[in-house]
Amino acid sequence: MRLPVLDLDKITFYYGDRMVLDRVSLTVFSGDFLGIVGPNGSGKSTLLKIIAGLLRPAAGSVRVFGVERENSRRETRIGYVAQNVTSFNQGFPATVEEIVLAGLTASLGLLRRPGRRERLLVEETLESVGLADLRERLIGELSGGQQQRTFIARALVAEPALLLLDEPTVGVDADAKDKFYELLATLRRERGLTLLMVSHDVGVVAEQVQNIACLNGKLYFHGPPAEFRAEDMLCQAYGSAVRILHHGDH
Amino acid sequence: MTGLFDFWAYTFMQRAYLAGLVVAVLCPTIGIYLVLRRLSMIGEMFAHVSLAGVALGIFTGVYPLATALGFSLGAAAVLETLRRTYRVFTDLAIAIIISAGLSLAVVLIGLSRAFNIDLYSYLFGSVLAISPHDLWLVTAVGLLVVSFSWLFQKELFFIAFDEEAARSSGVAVDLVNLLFVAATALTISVSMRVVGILLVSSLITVPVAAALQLGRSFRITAVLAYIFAGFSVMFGLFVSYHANLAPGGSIVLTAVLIFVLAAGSRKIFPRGGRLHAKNEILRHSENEGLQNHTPAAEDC
Ligand SMILES: Nc1ncnc2c1ncn2[C@@H]1O[C@H](COP(=O)(O)OP(=O)(O)O)[C@@H](O)[C@H]1O
Ligand SMILES: [Mg+2]
Repeated sequence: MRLPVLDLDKITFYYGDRMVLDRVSLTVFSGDFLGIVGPNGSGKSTLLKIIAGLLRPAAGSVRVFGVERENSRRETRIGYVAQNVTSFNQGFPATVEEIVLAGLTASLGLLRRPGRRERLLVEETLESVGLADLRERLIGELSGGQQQRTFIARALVAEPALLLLDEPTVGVDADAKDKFYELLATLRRERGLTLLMVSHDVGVVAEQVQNIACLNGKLYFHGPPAEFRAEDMLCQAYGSAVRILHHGDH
Repeated sequence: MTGLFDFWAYTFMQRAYLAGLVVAVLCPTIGIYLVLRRLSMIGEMFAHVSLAGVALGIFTGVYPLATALGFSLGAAAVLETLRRTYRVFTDLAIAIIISAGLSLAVVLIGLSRAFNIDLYSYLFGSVLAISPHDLWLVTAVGLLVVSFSWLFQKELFFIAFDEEAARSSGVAVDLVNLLFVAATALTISVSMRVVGILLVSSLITVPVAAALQLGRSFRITAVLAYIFAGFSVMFGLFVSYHANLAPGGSIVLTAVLIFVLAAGSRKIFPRGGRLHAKNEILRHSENEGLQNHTPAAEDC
């Protein structure tokens, strides 16, 4: 039997007194590629931030490899690439290499400086996302797609078992999008990476992922894309999206 | 007999140069993170609070650098409390603390009845009047802050670039931020002895701003900032001695001049290299009216 990498149990979350997530339960198994879809404001980013340890749920538990996640402790088995990660200060004087190296900060721990081993890891990671030639370029001089891959490399360099991606292809052109999904497929194959990707682009997501979860405050569906259709009565918020899915189905 | 470097024979000039050098290392060490996190105003905040501290020190007869330090650390605590507990925006919290510091300083100065020479020396810097006592304090703080930034460099860099990512990956962001604010308070309190309260935040930001014009990586930017700050202090002191100018002003004016040169040279040699240069040309030719001077067009 496959190992549950992530186990969410009745996660409830409020911003102030507004409930954004209502008893969301979800299990992600090792090697899975789960797409979370839902309309804007449905709590997708919030859910990812909870898993990433940035927000604390009002109720419910997050278990990583069966162990309760403590928000304050470092959790290097989870990598997180935020929504709008490319909306940083474009004039920041940092090279691709320097940014990816930063991804090892937590696993090195306090008071230790990166050495030879860390530089090697960075180099390998840059190779695997196809950025080796750009390692000395300033981050602000890269295209949106290249910046996106830099941030994925920054998350990957710590060798997480689970990678969380929040709307990773927004603002990336079609060509770079294809390359991006190729990269994800390679990472899954070569590193056995478990992926959890948030998107509002159901059509594309359904073609890429193994499982799909439909979120709108509550979780309305969780299963393979092919079965998503049959459940569309339950996923009230996503009527139009379900129709798109019929076209993408083969 | 009247050589250019005669001043080195005076111990007060030796002390001035040593203290200046420490400050030239300290200011960019903290400044690079302040500038990149868009928190330059924190420098201004600590300077104003230090003024209140100095005024209190003079009024009560306590060593003013010590009271300034105490006030700065207090202000750091207040800033964190306002931000976290009361959820005040950082820039607003800074503005409030600046107001509190400045008004308290004015009241204390009023109480001591005279705008005395001591206070004047803190306002405008008195690098030529640095006592051995001051030099020890400046050096001790210098060592402390530089070792902090050396030991926490990877955390400081990560947080400056992307605080949320640093937090989610498990970096002890709150701890590092706390230490950083304390290091900033220390830096400003001792630097003001050299360049003066009015100019201390300039020495924190201007050399970094100049380095940002030219740096092709974080490491190079940091190295350039040290070089620029070091040169500003050395040259500023040199000029102030020979031309009998205010040392603080000469130092910061030198830094500003370096910034102007750096910004100018960036215009001539765009830092993005080839690709960037081409974009520059495109942008220039779009503005028909500005066609007359397109220095970027010439170098590719
Ligand atoms: N920091 C915040 N404070 C208050 N409300 C928020 C905050 N972040 C998000 N929200 C609200 O919570 C809801 C869910 O947001 P989010 O998780 O970002 O949705 P999604 O990613 O699915 O678009 C939205 O209605 C949003 O306006
Ligand atoms: Mg979102």
